[in-house]
Amino acid sequence: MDPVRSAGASADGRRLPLKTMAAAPSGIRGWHSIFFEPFAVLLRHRRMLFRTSLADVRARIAASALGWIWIGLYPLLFLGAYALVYLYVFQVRFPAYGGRDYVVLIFCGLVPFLWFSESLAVGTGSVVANGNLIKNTLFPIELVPAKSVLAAQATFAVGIVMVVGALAATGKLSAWVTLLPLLWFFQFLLTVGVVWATSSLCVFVRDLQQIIGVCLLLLMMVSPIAFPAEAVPENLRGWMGLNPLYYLITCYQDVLINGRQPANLLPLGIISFAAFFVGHAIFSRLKGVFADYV
Amino acid sequence: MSDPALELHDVGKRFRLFSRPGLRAIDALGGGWLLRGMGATSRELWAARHISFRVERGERVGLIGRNGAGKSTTLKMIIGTLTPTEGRVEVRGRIQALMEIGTGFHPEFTGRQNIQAALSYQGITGRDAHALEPEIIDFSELAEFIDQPVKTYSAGMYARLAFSAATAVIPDVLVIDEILGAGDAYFAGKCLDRMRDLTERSGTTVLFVSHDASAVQVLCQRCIWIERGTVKEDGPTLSVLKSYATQVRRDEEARLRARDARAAGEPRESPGSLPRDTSNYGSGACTIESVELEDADSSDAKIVLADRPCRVKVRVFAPSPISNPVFVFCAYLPSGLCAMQLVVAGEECGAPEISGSNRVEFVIDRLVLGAGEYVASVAVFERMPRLGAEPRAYHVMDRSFHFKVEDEAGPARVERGVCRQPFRAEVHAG
Repeated sequence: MDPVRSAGASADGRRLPLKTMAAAPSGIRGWHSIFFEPFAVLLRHRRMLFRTSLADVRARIAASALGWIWIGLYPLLFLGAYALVYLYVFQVRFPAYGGRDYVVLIFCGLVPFLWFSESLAVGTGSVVANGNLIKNTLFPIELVPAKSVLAAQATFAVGIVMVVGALAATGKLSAWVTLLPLLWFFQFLLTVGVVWATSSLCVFVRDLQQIIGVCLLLLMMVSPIAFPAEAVPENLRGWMGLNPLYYLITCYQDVLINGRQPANLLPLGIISFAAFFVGHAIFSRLKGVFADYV
Repeated sequence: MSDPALELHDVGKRFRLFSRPGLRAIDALGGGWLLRGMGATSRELWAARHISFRVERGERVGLIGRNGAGKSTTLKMIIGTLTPTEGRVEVRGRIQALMEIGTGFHPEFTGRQNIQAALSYQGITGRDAHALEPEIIDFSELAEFIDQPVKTYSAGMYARLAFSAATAVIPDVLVIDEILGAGDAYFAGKCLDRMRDLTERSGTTVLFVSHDASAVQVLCQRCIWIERGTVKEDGPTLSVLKSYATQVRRDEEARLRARDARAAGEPRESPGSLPRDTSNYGSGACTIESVELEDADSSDAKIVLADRPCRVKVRVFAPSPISNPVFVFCAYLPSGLCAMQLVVAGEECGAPEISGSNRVEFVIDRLVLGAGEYVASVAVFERMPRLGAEPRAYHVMDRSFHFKVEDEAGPARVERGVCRQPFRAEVHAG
């Protein structure tokens, strides 16, 4: 049901866009719509997406007593817990990383993970929670999950600045850090794709929200956040590849603390684009039947 | 002739109803073959079918119909939430649905921040949004409170701000769905006036969906009546509303009749045994066999018109002669308040004694009861009832006869009260 936009001339000379909604031939749809539509929908409404995401962040801040402080405090608390457990309880030491470096290593993985997990936690229920927006003709419902992903990156933004600052202070910053925007882009595609899929399925299977919570906990444990991927025993390393966050987090670690070419950049890119397209395909298929369930 | 703003060509929507929502998702994802394999069954339902109409630019059209008639489905197809199963919908211009107010509102935000948030959901950002702000604040009359968080607002203030923000920009095609029904009557009226002003000035095409006929009358020149998923009538507002009102009245009559029939169908003790059923009792020396309301059109009406003649006909049967019975027809408001009581003794109408079958008629030349729902008691007493004491009853049917009074022209926007006091007015200078 892609809106076909052409123009109809009107009496006073104003040209109004014509939008046609017709019974869609089911089955095969144009290839261009699979690859082009997901980008188009986000780009077309980028300003609205930005403003509403900002409003979301503001709303969350306005609702808490500590306000803006939370955004910085949240990753620090997580980091503190990680550092405490691994550094002092388990007494974990890696030859390649000193005590201070180890903390930064954790941060490199933790910060992108927090963005991903918060996006999923909030985004999965976002369509259900914003059912009223389904009827909004000016705000496409596709933007709702994307909005959750964008709003969730507040923590990420602050965290990344902390990491880069810490690396700069210890003189470990390398030129590879310039790849950060690309990693951000890949992670955005990956997360939006996954959230598109989960949020639309959640309309029909509400339990998904609980399931996602459990999955995130599992992902947190198997993702190489508190350990470098090299520390995983050889025979288990193959399994790591099944976790899409493995590619993401190792890329961040390479670019930031290891200061080397990210080895997993290509698989990450492929996975991200695939998730983005598949997620959108699922979402646009289910969107037609949302209205009756929300 | 310019292109119409809105065109529907033989539009229909079929829903497939599954026993579980999850199955619907599988179906939508193209897993129909899987469902058939699993033996999952679905029922098909056409919520709307063969709907065709066109709305010219600048026209204001009302869409009426009862709940479940297919109004909402049609609307959702127009705004693009639902894809039609068959047919084609064409919309020229920016379409906006005003279905709820307060989109993007957050209680912790100040009024001003909420205006910006609401506007951003309408795709208005940056300088445009700031330019609109003064006008919105102005209409909401909340300038004093605009920098307070809206959680401190009263419900009325909140609604005012939300409505002002929602109607700040009028699109090419505006779809309004029932929102005006929310909030208090005063505010609803004010909103309606604003909608009319705005749309008249800007030449916006309006599609107004409501089951409130009077609101449609204020806003629209043309009206489309949707019934059972298809267009039943399409024409000037007044004439469509009239046929709609007639249909609703007819169905309402059937409903009231069914209700009374249910009440009458309840087992009743045989006369003579002095039953103390709470709603139907008496000594049984005479019994009320039937009660009918008659107006000009019908000899057994359930709905009568205010300011028109009507009569109440009560059939009374007395197996043996009784002297000076008192006949009562008493109408109550839903609140339980007695609205009118027609009391007459047999000897006042030349029947000091009755026996066998009799017909008592209360003749009303002009009904002064106002529009509303009533329930009536019908009774035959042994003596005239005095305040506070009920005399011995031959037969009382307590509050078991339902009827309705309506205005001839359909629901009016002017409240006329429970009693239609006849009056004339004079204006004197000086």
